[in-house]
Order: sequence, then structure tokens, then C-alpha cells
Amino acid sequence: MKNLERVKEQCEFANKWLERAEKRMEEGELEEAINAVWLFFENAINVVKDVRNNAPVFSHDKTRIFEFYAKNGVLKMDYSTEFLRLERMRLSASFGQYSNSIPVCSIEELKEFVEKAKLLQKDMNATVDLVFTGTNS
Amino acid sequence: MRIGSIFKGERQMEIFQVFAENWFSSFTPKEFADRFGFNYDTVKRALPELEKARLLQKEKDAYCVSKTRLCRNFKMFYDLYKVLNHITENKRELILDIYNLAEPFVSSCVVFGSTASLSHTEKSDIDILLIAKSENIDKMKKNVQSRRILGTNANTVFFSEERFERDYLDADDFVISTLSSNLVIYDDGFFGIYLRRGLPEPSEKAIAMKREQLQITKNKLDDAMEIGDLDVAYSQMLDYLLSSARIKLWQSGTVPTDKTNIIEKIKTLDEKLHGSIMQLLKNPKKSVKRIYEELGKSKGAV
Repeated sequence: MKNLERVKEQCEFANKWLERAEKRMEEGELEEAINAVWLFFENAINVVKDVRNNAPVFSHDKTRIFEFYAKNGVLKMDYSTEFLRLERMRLSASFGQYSNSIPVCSIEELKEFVEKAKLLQKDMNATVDLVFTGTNS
Repeated sequence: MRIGSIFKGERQMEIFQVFAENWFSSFTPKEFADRFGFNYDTVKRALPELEKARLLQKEKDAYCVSKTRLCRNFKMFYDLYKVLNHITENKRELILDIYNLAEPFVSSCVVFGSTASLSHTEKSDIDILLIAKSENIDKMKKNVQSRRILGTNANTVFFSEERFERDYLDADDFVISTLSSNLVIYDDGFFGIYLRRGLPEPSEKAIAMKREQLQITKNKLDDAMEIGDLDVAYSQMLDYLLSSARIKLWQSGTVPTDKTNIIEKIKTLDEKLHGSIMQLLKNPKKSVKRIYEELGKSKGAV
């Protein structure tokens, strides 16, 4: 029995964070937008793992989980590079220039991350639908 | 010179070691005994003796390290002792690998963050600050980054000596926290200069920058609250309250060294803010909504 409530809540958070990322991007608030799109990726991989394993991500390296589900065909593509870059940018945005992270990206680059996030959103919804309703939207 | 000839007994050595770990802090004998769990009479006897040995200095009723060359040498000795005894072999090798790659150019190699305060876990990153002269910084970066050593658990930060000096004068957060808690792996004397100089007073520019960052944190907190993601809201809220407390302390002329120090010092300056931080730490999910409402009413913590 999957934890329906937990997955549903996490899915809602994921979608809301993606909406927020787009809003912040339109407003030109780069740091807030990076944070929001990173939170979407975090929640999305949690949803996918919870659906497949009946447990969200605890101590696993999320980059590896993205790779793993891409190899197994659960996700249509490997989002690990985008996730890792977002994570580094998020650190970079929080700690300024101190961390070894790559610099914060431009709005144009961020748009590309949001596009990738939308693809991941489709994958996430498909995984959820397949397991809970037996249909693939 | 034998170490035993400077310290009268092991307890005295331990007391000095704690002072060396709290390089920029001052304590009265009572504060020191209460905080670090030493016998008050032992501390009361030991501190004047350490002062006589020029390892400590007294200001009013409080003692702090004298920051002399002898003191700095002892600190480096303890730092190496900690590296050898309290850090796992894998991490130790990683630190030494990074140091060896930087070695031809490096002025100072310093471990900071959770590893330096020995609050690290096996999964913690190792944070290493590498300082070099301006003309050497690119060569050092290239050398260190040439090997795929910078894996997931090493965060290496490169600073030129000029930039470290500039940020020191701006009382930059990172410089303050690195000076306050560190393990010196190697120093040609550059880092030692700042250990001797003490913590800088924050400039107007530093306060203004901190305020800007605070607004961004507030925006992230607003996002999390609107979405209802309380886990995210909690971490943003904590960040927001601690940053607010830091600004207040700076404005009062106090330079806190780390998060624990912020919480301790804000207690006397702003009881309400201290109370909010403590409630949040004690009961994250329950208090996050209430504190957020209060922030809205008072239009922010600062």
C-alpha cells in the first residue's frame, strides 16, 4: 500500500515550487527562482522514489537516484546534471562567491532549467498516474 | 622547550586548549568553569598562572588568549593533534592531498566549518580555505583542480591575500567565521597576522550587504509559507532570525563568531528575538507559523 497522502502532498509541493520558480523568474528575482526550481527537483525525485519504493529519499544521493531512474526507464531522461548544477548554484547564491560552486546563471540559462523541470514534471505525473490509477497520462 | 615545563599539570594544559579553541572569546573564571565544566577552584588558580606564562591576558575580570607567537604555535600544535586524532583517515588523506597540490603556491591552508569545530559527521563536507599571493592564485587553483580530488565531500575555497585583507576590513561573515573556528594545516605567517589582530568591526557596507541578503531570505521564507512547505519554511526562518540577530549585534558593536555565539549574545540585547530562535529550535513545525505571523505584525525582525 503506497502512502497516498504523503505522495499527494509532496506532488503538490513540487508543482507549487515550479509555479513559484516561474513567477520569481518573471520578477527577475534570480536567487529566489533558483531556490524554487531546485526545490521542485528535490520534491519531484522524492515523489518518484516514494512511488517506486514506498519511501522518500533519506540518506541517498539524489544525483545517483536521478541517474538510476533514467537508466531503468522510470524517467525519460537523466536530470542529474541539471540537479547538480542547480544545487551548486543554490549554494553559490547563498554563500556568495566563497564556495567552489559555479557562478549563479543568467535568466536565459534559468529558463532552460525551468523547461527541463517541466519535462521532469511530466515524468513525475506519469509515474504517479501509472502506479495509482494504472494509466499513463 | 618541553610542553610540560610551561604547563603546571594536565588540567592547566586542557584549560589553555579550550581557550585556544575560543580564540577571540573572553571569560571570567566563573563563566569559563560553568560553560566548559571545569572545577571553579582549579580554573581560578590556573588562569593567573597562565597569564603569568604569557599565554593568557586579562581585560577587566575576563581572560582571553594573549595571541603571542608562543600562543599561536601552541594553537597550531593542537590543530595538528586534532587532525591526527579526531578526523578519519580518509578525510585526513583528502586534506593532505589538497594541501600537497596547493603546496607550491599556498600561503595558508586552513580547515573551517564543521570539521574544524569537530562537530562533523562521516557525511559532512570538508571545507578548506587556500590562500595565496595574487600572482599565484590561478596557478594554485589550476593545480588543485587538475586532479578530480574535489569530489562531493570537499569544498575548497580560494582566496588571494589581497582579497582576504579586503574582506577582513569589511568584517565579512566568511572571514569572521573562518578566523573564529579553524584548524591551521599550514601557515607561512599570513593567517597568523589575522589571528593576532582580532576580529574586525563590521563596516556600513558589510551591514548593508547583510540586509540585502536578509531580504532575499525573507522572500524565500514568504514563498515557503505561501506554498505551505513547513520544512523549507523552518530552515529559511532560522536563517532569517539568525541573520537578523547578527545585524543587531553588529549594530551594537558586537561581532559574534558563530551561530551558538549569536544565540548567546542576542539574549541580553533582544530577548524577544532570542525567544523566537529558541522556540523555533525546540519546536520547529509548531512555532514556525506563529513566529511568521508575529514577524508580519512587527514588519520584520530588524
